[in-house]
Amino acid sequence: MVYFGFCTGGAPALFGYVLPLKGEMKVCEYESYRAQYCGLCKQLGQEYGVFSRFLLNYDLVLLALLADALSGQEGLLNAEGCFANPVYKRPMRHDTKGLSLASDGLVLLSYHKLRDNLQDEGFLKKCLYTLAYPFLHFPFQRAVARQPEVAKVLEKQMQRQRELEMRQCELIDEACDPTAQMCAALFATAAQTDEQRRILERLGLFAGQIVYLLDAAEDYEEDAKQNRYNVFLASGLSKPAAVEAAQKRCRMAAGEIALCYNLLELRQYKPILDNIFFLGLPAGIAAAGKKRTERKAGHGQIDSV
Amino acid sequence: MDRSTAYNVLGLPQGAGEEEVKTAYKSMAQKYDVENYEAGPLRDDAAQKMNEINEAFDVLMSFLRTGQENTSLNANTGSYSSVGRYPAIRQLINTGRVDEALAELSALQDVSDDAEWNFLMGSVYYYKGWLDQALHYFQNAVRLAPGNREYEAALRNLQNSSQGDMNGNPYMNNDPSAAAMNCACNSCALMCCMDACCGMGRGC
Repeated sequence: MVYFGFCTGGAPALFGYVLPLKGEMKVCEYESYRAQYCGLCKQLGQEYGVFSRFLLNYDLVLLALLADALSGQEGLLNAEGCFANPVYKRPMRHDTKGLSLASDGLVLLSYHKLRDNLQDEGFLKKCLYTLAYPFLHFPFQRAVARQPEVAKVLEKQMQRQRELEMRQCELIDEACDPTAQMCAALFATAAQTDEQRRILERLGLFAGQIVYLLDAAEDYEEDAKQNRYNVFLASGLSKPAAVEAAQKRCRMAAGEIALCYNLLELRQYKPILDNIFFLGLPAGIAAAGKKRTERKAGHGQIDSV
Repeated sequence: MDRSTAYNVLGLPQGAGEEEVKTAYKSMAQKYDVENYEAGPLRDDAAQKMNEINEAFDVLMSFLRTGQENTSLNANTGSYSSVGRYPAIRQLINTGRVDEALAELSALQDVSDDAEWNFLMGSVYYYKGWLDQALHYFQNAVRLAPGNREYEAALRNLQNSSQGDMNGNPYMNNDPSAAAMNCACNSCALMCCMDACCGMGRGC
């Protein structure tokens, strides 16, 4: 499995919850999804230097897929090796607008998460993040120059997030709103038209809510132990009650995502995106509160060999 | 709208027959029913899509039944009457100025037992994506004014999705768009070629 541990731990691995259900994919769909995933890694290397490739997780593959599905841009497919897996060559997609957008978004998000973690992690992790920080600084400046609008939204919403954590916000809707707004801004970049922009903003809004709430449900025990803010702890829910609340709220958000998704005219990748939204997303919600390692195999994880 | 566009709109191959047109129309009409989008910002998008589907259906049915193309435009552009005591606030919500609407609603006194006030509060929160709050206010609205179809539709949508319903889910029921799940995209074809040439890069 190609997964570099950098974004795990305290940093919420964004979009790690909006994945395809592998067992229900055709082999060609799976290969195509993986070509996008590997392509994003390569794109990161090309545009932001080798170090930024360590940020890769499943995060923004969905954004890259959506953007390319709407534009119809196919990109180039090459069989290549990579440093995580140099022996076997595999198909990787190159040079699409979606991959480029997704790599900008990933760098922006990672930088903010890292900065956030510098403030509220333990000593060892703090050292690690401090070491990583300068490596991300230049890529970040570059990403800001390329996506100034998104960068502005992220800056503002991270500030909002810190404020509501400080005052121990109990309202689930409010607690997940900053992440939702960040995702809305990110997803809007995938639009080709103003109409799509509105639809994608709303889709991103609800995707952000789901990511935030599933992450909060998963981190419940750890946050309790470390005395960190968690909306479910703040609202006094037990773990089972928190999982139930998260699931119900996420199912409502998923219903809204479906309404948005149905209004998009996709020019490619429909089977893959159908799988992600109608199978992968509900499976992710059903597994709320479980650690990634405990989850049923077959949801998402992309093999490297 | 010409016949070929009409077939495309309904997601059907050119020349599909009456039964197929009817089935596709029924499933798409359910998927894009404006009621599903009640009180949300994408309502007009859904209404527009619905108009397109209606027009395509009319064009195809009139051709299939009479053999003549009827390309007249459907005049129904989906206008909605706004009734109730709060038309100005409704207008604010419909134009996306939800924070102003929320401020006005919150400033009103002794209205928490008013069904329309609860519905508008729910609509504001629904627009913002605050679904727990929206559900709470829609529940109040329906409790205070049972039988109001608008309130009930808004509540039902959220209740259904909270049980796991996803509109247009191709993996449920007999949605004909599920038949479109076959993988014929170009990138897949390319994958097959690459596979044939070099076993996905595994043994050239």
